[in-house]
Amino acid sequence: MFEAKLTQGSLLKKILDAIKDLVPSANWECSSTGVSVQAMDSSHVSLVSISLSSEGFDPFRCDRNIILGMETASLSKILKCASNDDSITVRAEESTDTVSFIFESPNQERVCDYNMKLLDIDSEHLGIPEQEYDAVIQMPSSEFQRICRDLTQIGDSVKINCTKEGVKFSAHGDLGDGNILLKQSASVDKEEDQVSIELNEPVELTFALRYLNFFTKATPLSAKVTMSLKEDVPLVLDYRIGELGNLK
Amino acid sequence: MVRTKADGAGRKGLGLGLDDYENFITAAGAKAPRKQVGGCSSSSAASSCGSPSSSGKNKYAGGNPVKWWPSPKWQKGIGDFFCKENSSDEISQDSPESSATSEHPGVSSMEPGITPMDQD
Repeated sequence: MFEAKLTQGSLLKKILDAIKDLVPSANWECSSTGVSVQAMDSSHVSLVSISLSSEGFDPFRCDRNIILGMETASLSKILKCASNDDSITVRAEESTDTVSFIFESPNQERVCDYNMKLLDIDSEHLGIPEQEYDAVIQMPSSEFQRICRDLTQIGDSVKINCTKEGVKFSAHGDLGDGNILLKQSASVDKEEDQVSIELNEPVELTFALRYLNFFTKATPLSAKVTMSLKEDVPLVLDYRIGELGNLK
Repeated sequence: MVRTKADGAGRKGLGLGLDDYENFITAAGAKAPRKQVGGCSSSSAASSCGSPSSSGKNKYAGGNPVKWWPSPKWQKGIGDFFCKENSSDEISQDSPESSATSEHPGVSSMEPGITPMDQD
């Protein structure tokens, strides 16, 4: 049997909001250490990886590793039935083809349960090797979202140039071009407003804004985003979900 | 101000003279409640109900909506960078018990200790 209760159910709602437009369906792999997902978008351009630690749930019970295959849109619809302050319990028996979601209000006066049919999903697991990146940038996630959104007005792709001076985002198109330079900031009051750069080597890479804008749907999950860049290696955006885990 | 028959009827109905009636409607108009738009009080209007660009809560709010471009032609697939994991090992390790549970769509058992994030 698998049972996991997330007191702050809104986190699961935000996770689904972050991936529902990108990942049509996914296998949610449940083990004693937690819940994880690895899924590609329909055009197999990007990879989404979710890791939720068992310690973020209370209680968490997983007698045997199981895989819950779910359509993301359906799961999102069910989770939208939960209020933001509800706790969410996910329960699955190995002998059934459904998963149950129980939403409880903080005072436990309102309890909803929904059952969803599971799917058999053929998924390809990709091995992701350990990498040392040329540049690792931490910045406010809202700032990154705003940059990606603004530069779509100019062109379909963004060139990210990271040097010791800072990180520059550039786009060009038929109407002209646009550049946004963020310098390393050490003097800001809030730690989450800080831009920090760990630079091994200056790097300049170009990415399609379409996918970056899909990724920035994870912004409500975390005040900060960590961006890892390396030549000929896919960009990694890491949104930490508090103590629960992360979404990459 | 154009006077209508109805104005006169209202004035006569209230038993007021013309000057008294004009004073009455001016005063009544001054006291009439103003419609609240967006639930903002006058004191908070400047800080929270301005245009998106003037919002003090989130300095990144407002601006243009996302323009959803199609994927560029040069875009590579993620499979060009990462190799598929050989799943045959996992299949061969499946116990008879786990193959029995796989009769149920969507629910399948994995060998304990193998988690995808371990390879991350």
